[in-house]
This record gives sequence, C-alpha cells and structure tokens, in this order.
Amino acid sequence: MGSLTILLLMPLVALLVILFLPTGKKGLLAQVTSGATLLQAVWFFVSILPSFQNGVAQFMDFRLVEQIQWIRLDLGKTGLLNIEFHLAMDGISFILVMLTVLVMPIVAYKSFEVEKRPKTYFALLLLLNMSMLGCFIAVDFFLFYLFYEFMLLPMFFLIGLWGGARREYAAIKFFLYTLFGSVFVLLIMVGLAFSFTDPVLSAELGRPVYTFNMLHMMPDMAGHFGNMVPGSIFSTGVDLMGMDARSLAFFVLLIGFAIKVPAVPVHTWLPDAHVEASTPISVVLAAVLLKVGGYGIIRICYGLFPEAGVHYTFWVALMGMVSILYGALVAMSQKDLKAMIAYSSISHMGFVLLGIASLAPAGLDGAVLQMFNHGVVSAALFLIAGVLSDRTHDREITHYTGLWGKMPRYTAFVLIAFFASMGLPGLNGFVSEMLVFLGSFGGFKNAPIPAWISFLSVLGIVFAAVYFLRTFRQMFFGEFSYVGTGDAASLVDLKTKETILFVPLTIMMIVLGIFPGLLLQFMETAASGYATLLSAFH
Amino acid sequence: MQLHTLSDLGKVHLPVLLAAVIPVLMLLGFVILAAWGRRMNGGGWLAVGLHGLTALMGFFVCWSTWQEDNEFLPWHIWWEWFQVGGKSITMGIWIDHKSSSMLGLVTGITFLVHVFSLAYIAHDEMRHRYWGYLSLFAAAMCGLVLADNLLMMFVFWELVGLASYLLIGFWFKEELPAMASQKAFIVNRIADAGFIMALMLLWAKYGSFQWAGLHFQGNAADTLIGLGLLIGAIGKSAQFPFQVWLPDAMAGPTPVSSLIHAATMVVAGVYLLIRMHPLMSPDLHVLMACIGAGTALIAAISALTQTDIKRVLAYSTISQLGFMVMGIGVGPANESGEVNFAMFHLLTHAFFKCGLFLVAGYVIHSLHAAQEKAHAHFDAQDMRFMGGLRRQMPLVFVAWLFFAASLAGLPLFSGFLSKDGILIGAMHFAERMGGWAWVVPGAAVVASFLTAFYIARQGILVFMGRNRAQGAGAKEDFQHAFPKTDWRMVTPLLILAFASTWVIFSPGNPFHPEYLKTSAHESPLLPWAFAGIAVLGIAAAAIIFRKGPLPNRAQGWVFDLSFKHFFLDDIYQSLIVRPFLALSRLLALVDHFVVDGAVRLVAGIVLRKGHRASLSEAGEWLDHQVIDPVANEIIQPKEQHSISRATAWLDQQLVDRIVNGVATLVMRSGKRVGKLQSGKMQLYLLYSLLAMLVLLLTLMFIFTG
Repeated sequence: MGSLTILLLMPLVALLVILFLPTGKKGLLAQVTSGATLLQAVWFFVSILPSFQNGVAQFMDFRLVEQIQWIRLDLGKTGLLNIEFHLAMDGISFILVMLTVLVMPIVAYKSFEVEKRPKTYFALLLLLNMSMLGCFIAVDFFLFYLFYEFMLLPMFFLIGLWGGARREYAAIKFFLYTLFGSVFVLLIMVGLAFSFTDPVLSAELGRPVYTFNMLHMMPDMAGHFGNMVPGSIFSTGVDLMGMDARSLAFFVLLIGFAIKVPAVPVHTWLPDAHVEASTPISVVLAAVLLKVGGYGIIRICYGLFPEAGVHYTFWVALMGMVSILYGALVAMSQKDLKAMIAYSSISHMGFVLLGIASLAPAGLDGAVLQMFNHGVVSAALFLIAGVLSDRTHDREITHYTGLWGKMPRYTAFVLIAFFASMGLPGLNGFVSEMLVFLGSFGGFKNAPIPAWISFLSVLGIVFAAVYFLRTFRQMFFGEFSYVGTGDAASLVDLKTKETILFVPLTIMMIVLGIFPGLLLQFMETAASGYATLLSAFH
Repeated sequence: MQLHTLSDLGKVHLPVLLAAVIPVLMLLGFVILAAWGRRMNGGGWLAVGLHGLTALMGFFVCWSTWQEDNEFLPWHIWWEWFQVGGKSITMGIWIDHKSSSMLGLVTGITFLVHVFSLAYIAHDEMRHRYWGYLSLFAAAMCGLVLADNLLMMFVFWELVGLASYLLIGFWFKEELPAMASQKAFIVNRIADAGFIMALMLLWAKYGSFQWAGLHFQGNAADTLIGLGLLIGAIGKSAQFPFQVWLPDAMAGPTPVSSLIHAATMVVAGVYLLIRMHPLMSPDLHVLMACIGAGTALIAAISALTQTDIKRVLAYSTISQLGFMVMGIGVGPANESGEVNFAMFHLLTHAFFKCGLFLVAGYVIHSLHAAQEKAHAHFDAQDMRFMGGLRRQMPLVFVAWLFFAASLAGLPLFSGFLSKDGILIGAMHFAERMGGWAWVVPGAAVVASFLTAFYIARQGILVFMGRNRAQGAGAKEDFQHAFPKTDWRMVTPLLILAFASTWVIFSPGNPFHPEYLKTSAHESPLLPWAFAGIAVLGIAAAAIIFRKGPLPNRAQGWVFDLSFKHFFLDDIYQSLIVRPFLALSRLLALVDHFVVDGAVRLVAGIVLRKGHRASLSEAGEWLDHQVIDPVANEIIQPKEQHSISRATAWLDQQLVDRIVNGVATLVMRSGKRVGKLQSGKMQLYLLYSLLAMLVLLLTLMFIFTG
C-alpha cells in the first residue's frame, strides 16, 4: 500500500472508529477526528514530502504512483473499457493536498463546539476530507469523478443540518447547483473514455482498450494526441450540434468547474452556503472545496482540451476579470460580515481563472499559488467571522464599533488577515496576485488575452482595499459600542483556544509572503509546464 | 555581485553589509516591540537605542559612498527571491550616492524623531504600539531606498503605506484618524494600480525589474511604463490629483507627521522619479513639470488660510513636493545632466520641514500640558488661540526661525541653495519650450512668494504678538502654566536647525551649492531676485497680520477656495466616491434579484412547487437508521470484551448491519421517489445515479452496437 492510499485511508479508518464510539461522548468524537486529521498532516510531511524534497524540476513529473487494475468491461468487438485505481501526485496536487491536510486539523479543532448530532457530524466531516483529498490525487478520470461526486453528499448535510436559519434552502441550492455542474462533467468523461485508448494495454491485449486515464488523454509537448481514436466523439475535427465537439466539451466542463470555483455568473450558491453554514464548514468550503474547481480547470479543461483552451481563453479571462471586479463591488455593499467575505472569495478566486487563462508561466504559477494562499486567508477570514458569531450570534457589520480597544488580540489577527487578502506585500496574497498580473499581460499585440482585461483586473486590488478597510474602520476604530440584539458583555478578547486556531494560519501568511519559494519550488514547474504544453497550440 | 548562499555574505563590502543589516535590525525591533513592548513599559528606550545604532550605521554607509567616485558605484548585491517559468525574481541592494544619501537621511531623521517622541508620547497608554509601528516604518523605508529593482521597491512602497495607515490611525478611538487613515491608504492604492501596471509592462517587455537591466528606447510601451510609475509616484508624493490624503493624514501624532508625512515617506515618489527619469520620455517630463508646478501653486494658496498649525505645514509639504516633481520635469539647471536639484531639495526640505513639524508638535504638546494644568479647553492646534509663545519657548522659537527661513529661501539657509536650482531649471525649461511653458516658472515664482507669506503668517500667529488663549476662555494664569523646557524635545530641534543652514550642504560657499557645480553663465542676480521675492512675502505677511489673525468678515468664496483646497474633497466625493458606492449597492441588488433571481426562477419552474425539503427529517433518518444502529450494536455488549467475541461480532453484526443498512437506505429512498414534492435529498442522489447509469448504458450501446 502506497503513501497516497494510506493518506486516503486515514480519514476512513477514523470514520470507522467514530462509528464505534458512543454518541454521548462528543469530546471523544472530536478528539478522534482531530487526531486523525493531525495524523494525516504528519503523514503528509513524513511520508509524502520526502518524495518531493528537492522540489520538482519537470512538468508531468508524477510521483508516488499507485496504479491498480480495477474494473475492466468487455465491450465486445469495440474493445475493452479500463478503469483503474490510479493515484499519483505532481506539484499541483502536492500543493493542494498540503493545503487540505493543513486546514483540516483547524476545522476539526473548531468543531469541538458542535453540540447537535456530533457523531454524524464528524463522520461526514471525515468523509468529506477523504473525498477532497481523493479529487486532488486521482489520475483516473472515473476515480476523480467518484471523489468529486462524493464531496457533495457530506457537504450537503454539513450545511443543511448544522447551519443557520435558512440552512435547508442553502444546502439544496448548493446541491442542485453543483449537481448541475457535475452532470456536465460526467457527460464529457464518458465521451472521453471512448475517445482514447491505453497504448500499453492495447498492445498487450491486441484489442483497443479504452481508458479513463487522464494522462493518456493529454497531448505530448509537441501538441500531438498519440492515443486519440480517430473518428471518436472527442477526437479532433468532429462536429457535435454544429460545433466542434472538443470545443463544446471544453465549455461544458468549464461551466461544471466554474460553478465550483465559483465564477460569476454561476456563483450565487456560494454566499447563501457561506452565510448559512457553521464556521468550520465555511472554512472547509472556502479553503479547500472551491479549489477543486480551479484544479479541474487546469488539469481537465486546459490539460485535456489544450487547443480549445487556447482558442477560447479570452472567455475564461473575461470570466476571471468579471469575477474579480463584480465580486469586489458586491462585497462592498454587504451588511453581513460572512456575506462580504464570501463575495471577496469570489473576487479572489477570479484571479485563479485570470492566471490560468493567461497561458503564461507566471500566470499559471500565480493561479496555483493563489489557490493555496486564498485557502489560508479565507480560512482565517471565516474564523474571524466565527469569533463574532460565537459571541453575539450577530454578524451585521454596522452593529459593531471600536472592537480594537475591546479585543486587541483579535484585532491583530484581523488586521493581518485583511491585509493579506488585500494583497499587501510581505503577506502571502501579494505574491500570487502579482504573478497573475505579471502573467496576464502578454503585450498589446497577439497576446492570449487583451491588455484591457489584465489592466482592469488590477482595479480588483483597489476595490479589495476599499471593502476591507471600510469594514475594518466600521468595526474596529472608534469607541466601543454594540447595537445588535446579542450580549455586548460577551465581546471579550480571544481565548487561548481560539488563538490556537489563528496562529498557524497567520504564520503561514507571513512566512509564505516572505519566502514564496517554499511553495513555488514544488509547483513551479508543474504549473508553468502547462504554459509550455499550451504554447504548442498558440 | 550575486549571492548564492549565505556564506557569500563574507565577500560583501562592509558598507553594503551594514546597509543590508539596517532594515533587518529595525524589523527585529518591530517584532520585539510588538511582542513585548507593553511589558517593557512601552520600550521607548529600546527603540531609541536601536535607531541610534542604525543612524550611526546609516551615516557610515553614506560617508563611505561619498569617499568613492561615482564611477566605482553602485555597490550592488542581489539574490534570488524565487523563480517563475525559468526566470529569476530577485531582491538586492543598490548603493550609489542617491540611495546612500537617502539612507543617511532616513536613519538620521528617524533617530531624531524617536528622541523627540520620548517626551511627546511618554504618557500615552498605547505607546508600545507607537514605537513598534515606527520601527516597522523605518525598516520599510530603508528597504525602499536600498532596493535594486522596481518590484522590491513596490514591496516596501506598500509596506511604508501600511505603517503610515497604522500611524495615522494611531488614536483609533477618535473619528478623524479613522477616516484619515482609510483615505490615505485607499488613495495611495488607486495610484499604486498605476505602479502595478508599469510592473506588468516591464515584465512583458524586459522580463526583469532591476535598474541595471533597464534600457528604455523611448517607444510607446516605455512611455506607458513611465506613465504608470509617474501615477504611482504622484500618489505617494501627494501630487495633483492624488494630494487630498495628505492634509487629512495630519490626524496622526505630530512626530509621525514630521517623519512620515514630511521628511521621508512622501518623498518616496520623488525618489522613484529621480531614479527613473533618465528613462522617461520628454512628454512625461513636461507632464511632470506641469503637475509639479500646478500642485505647488494650489497647495501654497491653500496654506494661506489654514488655522490649524499642522495643516499649514501639510499644504506646505505638498507644495514643496510639487517643487521637487517640477524640478525633475524641467530637467537639470546645470550641465551635469542629472536632476540633482530635485534630489538636493528633497534632502534640504527633509530637515527643515521635519523641524517645522516638530516645532508644531512641541507647541501642541506644551499647550496640552498647560491646558491640563490651568483647566482650559480649546483647540490646541488652532493658531488663532496662540500668539506670543516666543516668551514661553524661546529656544524653540529660534529653531523655528531657522526652519522658516530655510523654507522661505533666505540666503545662508539650505532652502535657498536648493530652491534656486529648481527655479533656474524651470526658467531654462521655459526658454527651451517657449510660449505657454512660461506658466511653469511663473507658477513656481508665485508659489515661492506665497511660501514666504504663509510661513511668516504662521510665525506671527504662533510666536509674535500677545497670547490669545484668553479669548478662548483660558484664565489669566494660563501663560504661566507652560511646562519647562524638555531637552529630549529641544535637542533634536537644535540639531535640525543647524542642518537647515548652508553648513552641511555647501560648506565652502553659502550662496552657491558647490557640489552641484552649476555652470557660470547664470545671471548671478537671479538667486538674489528669488530671495527678494521671499522677503517681499514675509513683509506682506508682517503687514497684514501685525494685529493678529484676520477677523471673520474677511471671508468669502476666495477664502473658501483656499481654505477648502479648491473643493477637491467635495468634488471627489460627489463625482467619484458616491457614484462608486451607488454602483456597488446597485450591483448587490442586481446580484440578488437578477442573477440569483434567474437561478431561482429556473429552479422554480423545474421543481414546480412545494419544494419544502424536510431536510432535518432526512438527517434524523440518517442518524437513527444508519449511524445509530451500527453504533448501538457496538456499544451494547458492554460486559464482554474478549477478542474472539469482538471478531465474531464484527463478522456477524457489523457486516450484516452495514449490508442491511444499505438495503434499508435503498428501500427507503425507493419509497420516497414517488413523493416528488417531498424533495428529499435521496431523490437528487438517485437522479444523479440514474442519470449516470442511463448515460453509461446509452453510450455503451452506441459503441458496441
């Protein structure tokens, strides 16, 4: 059993253990979950990190490969359909798995306070944990899809059972939206499997073996699809409903993943989900779950359909720019702190789209780094909103004034997180957003995306300063007062328990702001390699 | 020299190494003060000691470079920050005469302001924060002046902005600092968007940000790079149209205004332009000249009517920065080809303006102390309630005279040397361009007349005549309530007063800046003519204000134009801020009613009605039917714990149970398929599963058929 399988098994084993524990002992349940997530993080650094010790120097350098024959369907004279349990990790997966294992212990620790149905809660949380990890390391499309769909179920319940007043509405909205997206992904996946064969197995068995292996669906660096079945549905030059089938597939997948990111205009589930979800669930949602969308766009939309990606990259860039600006502008008028942070998430995930669409090394590096950085910062931001929810059950921004004098330690963390999100140099958000900007502008003539898109996107960081600083002034400057219905006396500074949650996130923001190379060494070639791959189709 | 490993540091020239250590030490100071400042009784002495040390180091670096000829400079070390797509992004230290002079200036003035602050901030509960923020600022500022590339400069550029934000908002409980700090940061951010665009263009075109690698060809793209940098620079250096943040920034503690908003941070923009100007196109130079001259004049007019002692100085700073920007734009007044006069004015201005602010700080501090003792209450920054303070603080008054004379440009003072160069440069510029271009030196000459006028007005209102505090309700004994001379505050003033004379800038010739080697063909009368204009300004102020401040009836729309800074704030408020916020509110509504509304509409049509999913019921069911049964079975056999029993139980119970559970799940969900309106989650799951199966089957059929 390889390191990656063990990584996936850890939350599953913990889940089994939890089923064995009495419902009444919720402290124990939380401890087991926290322990499992911590163990998972330790395992990552002890067993997986060494394989990547000296960074990654090459594109498509997948390591820790585990490839096991799983399902083989005989399709008669057409050939065979092969599904594998195929896990592997390259730089991009590495970074996103690292994000997941770093955020999950914080989520588990924050979940100690869950009162309602603790056993179900922790079981679902572990299930979610497993499927998110699976998404990032599955190389077989079928396997990826299984994990992708599997995230839905626990998340649906986690929002719908432990959320706020309108939780059911939010959960169902989340579910329908993402299901709508994943049906698209499913359609394309099945078509793809019948358009590519596994060269090794086909030679071995003497019959065409259709494959779900994503690596076989990619072109080589010269832009040649070696394993494509001529005349199949997603082979080059096939028309489907009056459109190039591969371009159509690209768009359909793009919609599917854009919902997850989420990008404007398919973003409206996110504010509802965030506002209604409890704090730890908001943290998972923003920090990790959204990243599956960005990951899918790089790995699947652009990785498997590079020629369509290059051809239609303008639309992705436009979607990124609109998300950045629109998300920021709408965030500015939000009254609920969590809704503001949710819209800011939309704005910041827009940078991921813009970076990918740039087709430039700096842009792709920036996009992947931005996913990690946004994960860290948004986790902190939702914890910040959680601190107020816990005390007064009130997140109305204008109800608070002068918290700085009342809660100085809290304010220090808020200040750092807000400025990190604004892209202040020295904190992590700056590096990734700057890289996206640098990559996105490719000149005035013949650039992949027009200059006005990249220039207008720069306004996103101006808007971010406006909404964060206005919120900060409203809530933290001035003499202390609280006008909501909650208990003003409950507004005391962070307890040690709460501080523990913020410390690791804040350290990451500062350290990665000063030494971005710590992360870039792992993912730099993996991400910018896509730029090289795509350049074959310019 | 590129550094590859830490051990390469051993090969680095000592002054460069020291220069690199300075910001690191300051940052360390910030961390220590932030973490333990409160417990160290504020940590003021630690901060002063630290900055004393760095000031010595800074002077040494500065001195070392002036021992070298320009051709052996710069001393340059750099190292890789990170790699992107095979290209290195670097950081480094670049020491030439400009950066080392700036380093000396920043470390020196920071130290003096620290000493001054010891007394100024002594009784503030939050002083540990004050010291921490100051160290953060100093570190960032040193990083900014030492940067060897534009990206690194931008990094520290933003960090000084952060420090400025924190220090303007230092008294966060009050209304004014809260608004002012936010305004300062946002206005700067808008200008910084220009800086970022310049960086994007640079990266696309040159793939590097280092000074050393830039060779502009003056084509359209290079002009755009220059324009972006210019926009960034005029934001930081408070030039039109971005200058509105600086007067409000006076809400911060006065020593902060002196250090950040007069002497160091606000000149960062000018410093950037000085660095980049050889690469900028002639059009941009003309633009700079116009922006600088216009801002200098507007701000000088605005300074005329201010009643707040600090606001006069704030507008004065904007005006003087305008002189510097104009100085860069009009080009050199001599033949060495460098814009030395802007740099020179930057240095001289830093000392005398820092001094003027510290005098204001001293006055405010003393008035507060006196008010407390004499139980008087009036605005301690309003010059209309001052007057005659030369009796209470004679030494400070003398220092003020030095600073004011330097600002007005009187002979024997540093301002005379540097302002002359800029004005003569402006004259040459007008001669070259002809026609309309005479507006530029014209505005500058008027602005320098007004400069002398407003600073003389300040002196008359604050130090001359009789004390007007009684008019504000203070008792007779108020004048005796002033505190004794505090040497911690007066010593820095005296040092700065000395630095405002010709001595350190042009020791050999008090009337002509010798190091600038101005060519001889200037009319020797011109400098004296400028000095004459300054004297005229002072005389005019002396006549008009000989009886104290003007009565209120002298006010009208012309007065308002000056007092309200040409209504710029109101114009921006109604033309930019309000429409922008309205757009934001509009989009929030659109998002809710149109974008999300469309989604809800579609969902409503597809799902018809009665979509009231009893989710908690479903959860309940999951709880009781799946999770609990499995769990309960496990917990029940409490009495026996033998391994064999456990394994047997595992075999029979758990596996069976799970199978049964799954079966129940399927059966239950099967029952619920019929009830469409119940909208249970299993339904959706089943739909998706079903869809998947149908698809798989169809496709298989297609391919196998």
